[in-house]
Order: sequence, then C-alpha cells, then structure tokens
Amino acid sequence: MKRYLRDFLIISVITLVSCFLLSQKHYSDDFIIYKTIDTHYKKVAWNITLLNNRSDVLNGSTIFLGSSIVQGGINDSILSAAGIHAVNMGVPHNANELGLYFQKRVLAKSKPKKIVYLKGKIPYKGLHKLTPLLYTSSDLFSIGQTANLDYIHFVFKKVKLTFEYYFYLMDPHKPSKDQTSFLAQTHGHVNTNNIIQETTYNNILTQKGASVSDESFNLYLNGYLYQRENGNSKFAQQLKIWKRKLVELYFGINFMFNQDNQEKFIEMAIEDCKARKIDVQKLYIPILIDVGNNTGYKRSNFRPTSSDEGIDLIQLEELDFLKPLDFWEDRDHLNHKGSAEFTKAIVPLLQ
Amino acid sequence: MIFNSFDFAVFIPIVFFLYWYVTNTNLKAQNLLIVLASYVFYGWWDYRFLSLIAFSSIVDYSIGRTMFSTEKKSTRKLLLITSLVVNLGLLGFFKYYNFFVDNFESAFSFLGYKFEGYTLKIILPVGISFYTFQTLSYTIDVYRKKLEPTKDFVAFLAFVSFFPQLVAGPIERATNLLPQFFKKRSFSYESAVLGTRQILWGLFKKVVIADQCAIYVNSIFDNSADHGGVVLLLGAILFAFQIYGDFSGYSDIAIGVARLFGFKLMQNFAFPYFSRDIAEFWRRWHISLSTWFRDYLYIPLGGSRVGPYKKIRNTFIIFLVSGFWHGANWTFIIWGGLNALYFLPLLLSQNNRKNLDTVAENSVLPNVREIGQMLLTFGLTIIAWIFFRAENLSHAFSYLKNIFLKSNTLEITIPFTLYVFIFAFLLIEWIGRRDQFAIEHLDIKIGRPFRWAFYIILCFCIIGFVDNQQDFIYFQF
Repeated sequence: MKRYLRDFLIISVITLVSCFLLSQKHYSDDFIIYKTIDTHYKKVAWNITLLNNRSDVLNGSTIFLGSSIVQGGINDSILSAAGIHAVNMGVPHNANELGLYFQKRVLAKSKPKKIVYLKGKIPYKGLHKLTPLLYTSSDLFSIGQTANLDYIHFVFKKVKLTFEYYFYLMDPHKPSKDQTSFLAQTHGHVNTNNIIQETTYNNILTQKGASVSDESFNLYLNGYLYQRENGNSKFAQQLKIWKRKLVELYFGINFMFNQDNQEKFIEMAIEDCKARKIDVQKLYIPILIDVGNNTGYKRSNFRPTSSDEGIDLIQLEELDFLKPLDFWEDRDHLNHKGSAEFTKAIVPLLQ
Repeated sequence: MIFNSFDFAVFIPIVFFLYWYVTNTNLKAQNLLIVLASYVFYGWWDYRFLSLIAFSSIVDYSIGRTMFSTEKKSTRKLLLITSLVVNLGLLGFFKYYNFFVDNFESAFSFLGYKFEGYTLKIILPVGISFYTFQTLSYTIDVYRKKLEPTKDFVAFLAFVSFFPQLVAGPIERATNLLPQFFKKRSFSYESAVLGTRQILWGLFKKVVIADQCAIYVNSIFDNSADHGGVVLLLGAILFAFQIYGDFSGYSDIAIGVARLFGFKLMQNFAFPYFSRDIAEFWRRWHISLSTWFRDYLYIPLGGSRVGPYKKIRNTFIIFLVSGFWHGANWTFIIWGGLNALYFLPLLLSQNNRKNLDTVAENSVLPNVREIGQMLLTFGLTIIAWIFFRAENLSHAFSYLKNIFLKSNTLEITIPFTLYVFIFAFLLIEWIGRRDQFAIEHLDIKIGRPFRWAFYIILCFCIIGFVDNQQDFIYFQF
C-alpha cells in the first residue's frame, strides 16, 4: 500500500508542478484575437486591435469597462457626438480582473481622461472564462488572487490553452478568420436589436426568484447556485449546502467563490487610476427589474461593495423612460434603442 | 455522482481510505461500507430511486432463498416469473410506459379509432437497465441451479449496488461477482496500479476523445439539415468515436475502480473498431450485454443450433431486444434490426465465427485484406450509429439521405488537435489490441521514466479538457 501511495503521490506532484509551469505561459495578441474573434467574446479581439493599432484614440477619452451590460448599454458614438470622447471596452461576462487587465494595457499606451467601471456586478462571480487567456498564473497572483478553487480551475484551463498555443505556433496554415470590418469599427458599442416579448416581460416581473435561501451567505438568492443545482435532488442540494458550509468553515468563503478577490481586483484598478491621477467612477446601468414594480424577484445588480467607497457613482434617479419593452434585449440588457436613450440620459452626468 | 467530477474525486479517496484502513480486517464491514458508499454514490443523483434498488434487491434476495428451499418445479417457476415480472415491470414502467402509450395512440389513429392514453412525466432512474439485468442474472442462475443463493443479505445488497458498475455496467453475472464478496480481499500493489492505469485510460477516452467529439457531433446532428454530405459523414464518424470513448471509457473507469477495491469485473470492450466483420464486432462491443442476451435469451430460444427459419427469428429477436434495451425509441429498434441484417449473412453462411482471434495477431500491421475488412465493418457500424444518435426516424433517414445527396452548405471547423488526439488514441489502441485494455501492459512495454511521463501527459490531457464535461451517454439507458 505504501508503495502505491508513494508512486501515486509522486506522479500527482509532478503533474501539478508541471501544470503550474505550463500555466506561466504568456500568449501573443494574435493568439488571443484568434481565440476570441469568432466567439461571443469577439469584443476582446476588438479591444486588443484598438490597443495595438489605434491607441491614440484612447488619449483624453472616457473609457468604459465592465460586462455585456456596459458593452451593449453604452453607445460611445452618441457620447462622442455629444462632445464626450468615449470608448466602450466592455466585454461579455465581466469579472473585475478583465477590467483591470484592459486598464493596465490602456494605461501602458495612453492617458485617458476618465475610466468608468460598471457598478454592481454580481459579487459571487468567479474568474472570467477568458482570464486564462489573458493572465499567467503568477500574474494573477500578483494582482491579489488567492489559491482557491477558481485558481485551480484557472491553472487547469491554462494547461490546455498552452498546448493549444504551441499547436497554433506550429501550424503554418492558420485558418484565417476575416473579421476586419468588425475590428475596424471605430466604436465599441455592440449589441443586437432583439426585443423581448410581452409574455416574457410579464413572466420576469412576476417571477419570485429562487426558493432555496437557507445558506448563511445567501447565495441562492442570486440565482447562480440555484440555476446550477436546480436539477439536483433536494437531498443532494442539502448535501452540497453542508459541504459548502464545511469548506467555508475551514477555508473561508473566498476559497469557493472568489468574492473577496474580485473586490481586490477592482480596488487595485481604482488605486492605480488614482495614483496616476486619472479620474475613476462607477456607473450603474439598470436591468429590467429596475424599471418594473416586482418585489418578488430578488436579483438586484445594485449591491454595496467595499470598492464603492471614495469614488463617484453615476446613477440615474428616474428610470421610467426605459419602461417600454422595445428598449430591452432581455431581462439584463438594454437593446440598441434602449441603450441610445440611456446614453443620452447620462450625458449631463458625465460632463 | 459521475466519475469525471470533483465530487467523485473527493468521494473515492474517502471510501478507499475507510475500506483499506478502517474496515480492512472485517469482510462484513467492508461489504457494508461498499453498500453505504454505493447508496451515497447513487443517491447523489436522486435519493428517491434508492428505494427501487433496495426493493429489487429485497425481492430477488427473498426469491432466491425461497427458490433454493424448494424442489417443486412449479413453485420454482412461479418464483422466477415473479422476479421477472417485478424487475421487468419496473423497467417497463419507468422506461417504456410512455413509448407504448404513444405508439398505441398512433396505431389506433392510423386505423381510424381514437385512443387516448395517459402519458406520465416519468424520470428514468439512472442505470435501471443495468442493475435490473444484473439482479435478473442472479435469479435465473439460482433457478437453473448454477448458483447457490446467498444467505448474506449485505453481500447481496453490495452485489446489486456495487458503485463502480452500478449505473452503466459492465453488467456482471452473479456467478462472477457475488462470490468475490465472500473472499477476503487484500491490497495488491500490482492490481491497484493496473486499476489506476485503467482509470486513467478510461478518463482519457471519456474526457479527451468522447467529450471533444461530442461538441462537433451535437452541432452537426442538431443542424443536420444545414450541412452537406461530407460534414454529415464526418459527424457520423465522430459519433462512432464519441460513443466508443464514452462507453468504453466508463467501463474502463468502472473496472479500474473495482480493482482498487480488490474486485475483478469482466471486460466490456475489446477494441471493437478493429473487427473484421459484424459478428466479431458484436463479440467485442458491450460484451457484458451481448453475452447476457446470448446466455439468457438466445440460447434458451435455441440459439444457432436450429433450422434456418428459427436462426433468422432468433437473430432478429436478440438484436431487436438489444436495440429496445437501449431506449424507448424506434431509432434504437431500427439500429438493432440493421445489425441483425448485417449479421444474418454471416450466420447463414456459417462465417460468423471466422474471426475469433485478434486482427494481425502475429504482425505489427494488418494486411490489405484486413484493412479492407475493418473499414467495411466500421462503415457498416457508422450507418447504424446514425439511427442510434438521431432524434427520430425521419431525422435518421434525412441524415442518411443527405450524406449522399446534399452538397456542402454550412461548414464546420474542427480543430486540428482533435484529429491528432483521435490518431494518437487509435494508434495506442492498436498497439495494445491484444490486451484487456490498450495500456494494460505498459509496464512490460516501456520503462518507468517513459511510463510515468506517459501517465503525466495523459493527466495533462484530462486536466486540460475536463472543463467541457458531458454526461455519459449510457446513463440514459
């Protein structure tokens, strides 16, 4: 038995150390563009192309960073026409380390006037799906990430990406993904013109949210774990709640949900801006529930966080003008028409 | 709980530790631990269906004991029928009830009558087809006096619910697995290494081959109307690798995990895609199910030692039942029927037992004739797999038609790496084709440094791809 356990341990340790070494690999911008251009995250390719080819437009600009709510909610061409030179660098499924990544790259090449972050991104979020593409494991550590489940997952994903990167470098006939017209567009506002149906709208406004709410940190109310575990039996759900409580007891909540790290990333971004004397603000972009009258649906993007302190919040008090259904793409996103109205409304607050 | 999950990665070391360090001196305690672990393993998915396994176990345990205590033929037969009715009744209700109601409705409406049956929202309990057949083998063997029923209820519970093979096989015979619960099990380094190696290979097949193929297979089959013939053919070929990687991968993990606990399960796959004819394919594919049907259905019907008419009848029965076992859908029945049609010419010409050895037994590479035979057999299985994968019969027929008739419209980009992995996988399987699983004798073939490097590369591949987790296909059966 001892021999077996020893061999098993040696192979496991060698594997993990090798994984960690492979996760130290930086990828070229070409590869990042190649990996994202044909996907939901093609905005990342646009951001990088802009940084490499037209970084001059960033000088003196107001840069918007955040999730798809920013990407589709802020029409930077309208802002620019109104005299506020703006660049929308929002990327779907934002997590703060992505904002910090683009901020670092922006600040390395230019001096923007202001950086505006999205207020109220749901705090339980782990790392962004694209973080392994943009960070190495030690880079991530250097911005405050701690060793937790998300980090392990990150390292594992880097292993695959690194191999894929080597294959990419070896392949002399890289498939061309011609998206030049998208990459050449001058503004970063990307969304669709889908309009939600009245039936869906009514359904959302009467939705009561998740029913399981007995966890100490109340994550079920956010719907994240609820959605993931909804198909499990009640017994399995309960076991998973106990398991989380046990892990939380020993390792702390940050071991499982990366919440504190996410706050650290944004705090670091804010500090960096302040150190360079660049104005930094947060902007609240409403979601559909903010313009309805439903109190049963528990999801709210507006949550106080420690990084709110000491920075200005841009927030519209009156949101009734966003009530029409044809302003919404889905329950979390304004569509093209809605974002135009919202952007016009915030012009005075940005000046 | 599934094998390629974080939950299982935590579960297995705990059970392993308790098994070899806490209960190791007491066989009964080890068996009880297996029962508890198996019930947790199964209950993790849905604890309500534990009652079904427990019920099946109690029924068959009691029937086995009662059957043994009487010599009266009619009573023994009645008890066997009771076991068959209970087990197949449960299977029939959970798996086939809605299928029959729907088909009765269609049949009546076709004849101009109106029949309104009540379809129910039934959840199919994971693995019901597998453990039902396993318990049936016990009752049938006791009835045939091939096996003495056990008095040890805990051991019987452990036999029915043994977690490594509970939800997707191999379907073990009571004559092979049950006696192992009564033998003292001691830890063997060689067996544990072999088990771990098999788990690793199974995970590679599942996570790297099957799950990666699944991404493109799902996309092609879901949008089959938009794709041209070449892409559709590629989709069918990738599905052949997906289903093999998925199911044989699960079997490898199951057999490997069982080895870690000192058990030896039967081989379930023997490199079926290197078969030279369909008869050989069926001796190598899902062996535990094929032999189950052979022993408990085909041979009692007379097998092949009957006249030509009955031979044809028996062949169709076994293949159609096998298809129906896979699911309540006409696609599976047609899949079974198609395989029967492939098999019949071999049977009737008495060529079905021609290729009993391994292909290129004494050489490194196959000859041209063998390559041709393997490609033809693979091609035939691919046509059958289209029915197996399709949503319904019209989907299958249109898919098949479009392979030959439709020119390319919607393209699909399949990464170069997937072809590299499939090629490497086939190469390793070819090299190890004479063994129980491809890397069984790695210790003999290569020295420790290269062997360990190979393990680490496999780990990298598994770690790299584990993100894209797909359910095991055979869980639905």
